[in-house]
Amino acid sequence: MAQLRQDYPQFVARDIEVVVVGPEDTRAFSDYWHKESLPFIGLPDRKASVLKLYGQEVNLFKLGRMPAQVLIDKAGVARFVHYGHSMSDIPKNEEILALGDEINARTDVGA
Amino acid sequence: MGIPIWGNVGAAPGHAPLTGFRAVEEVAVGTQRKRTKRAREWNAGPLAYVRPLIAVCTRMDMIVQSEWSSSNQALQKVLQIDAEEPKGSEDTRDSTISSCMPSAPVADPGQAAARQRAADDLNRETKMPRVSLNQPAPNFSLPDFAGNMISLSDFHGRKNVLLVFNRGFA
Repeated sequence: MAQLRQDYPQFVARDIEVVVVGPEDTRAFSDYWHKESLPFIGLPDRKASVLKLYGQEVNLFKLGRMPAQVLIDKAGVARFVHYGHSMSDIPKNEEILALGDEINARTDVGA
Repeated sequence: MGIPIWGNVGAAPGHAPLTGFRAVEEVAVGTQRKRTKRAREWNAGPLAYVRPLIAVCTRMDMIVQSEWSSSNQALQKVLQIDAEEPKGSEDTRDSTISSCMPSAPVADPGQAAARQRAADDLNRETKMPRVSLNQPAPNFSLPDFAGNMISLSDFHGRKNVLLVFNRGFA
């Protein structure tokens, strides 16, 4: 989360809005967001509705949700999908930012 | 001090003392009664707990021996097949193993179905359909922690979205 915050300006520069979905309740989200001064959107998903929609894996043996990232372009198409196999299986921001550049370049050519 | 075969052998209060063979007979009967009583007490006491354990252990031992015997039997047949037909005999080998191994106990159909349903539910919960690359991402609407309704469709045509599914930060 700290890395996302640090690189957030680079995401903004690429027209990428960061939306974090988590299992905590509204209060926990609010406390954490204010404590860490997080600039992006936080969505408490207590009923796991988005989790089920996107198929975030729940590993009972690893005691919880596995991390997952989906980059969706302006047309609403998933251009990058990563489902982590462990808690630390998270792609680097550089990889996603580079993909953002690629998506924007294609959009510019298409427009 | 020997056994008093002849002579007086005690007497209950108010009774004449027993003598001769009668005395020996009474002593023998009394001893037998004591033994029977002791055996009855053991049967009702400690043995009542120990016997079921012995039965279970014996049963387990029989099962283990049976499994080992079946496995060993299968192994012997497989080795025999290998020796006779070194190639292309995998099917025979598999069927030999399955025919020799003791079959699993047949569970109650209702119980088995319930167990299967529970497993399916768990799989559905943990192995959900995933988003495919280069396919439209499913739309969702959810209030953020500040109460603002956020929909994926809000960003269409305006912004790319990086959706981060967090494990939890609490």
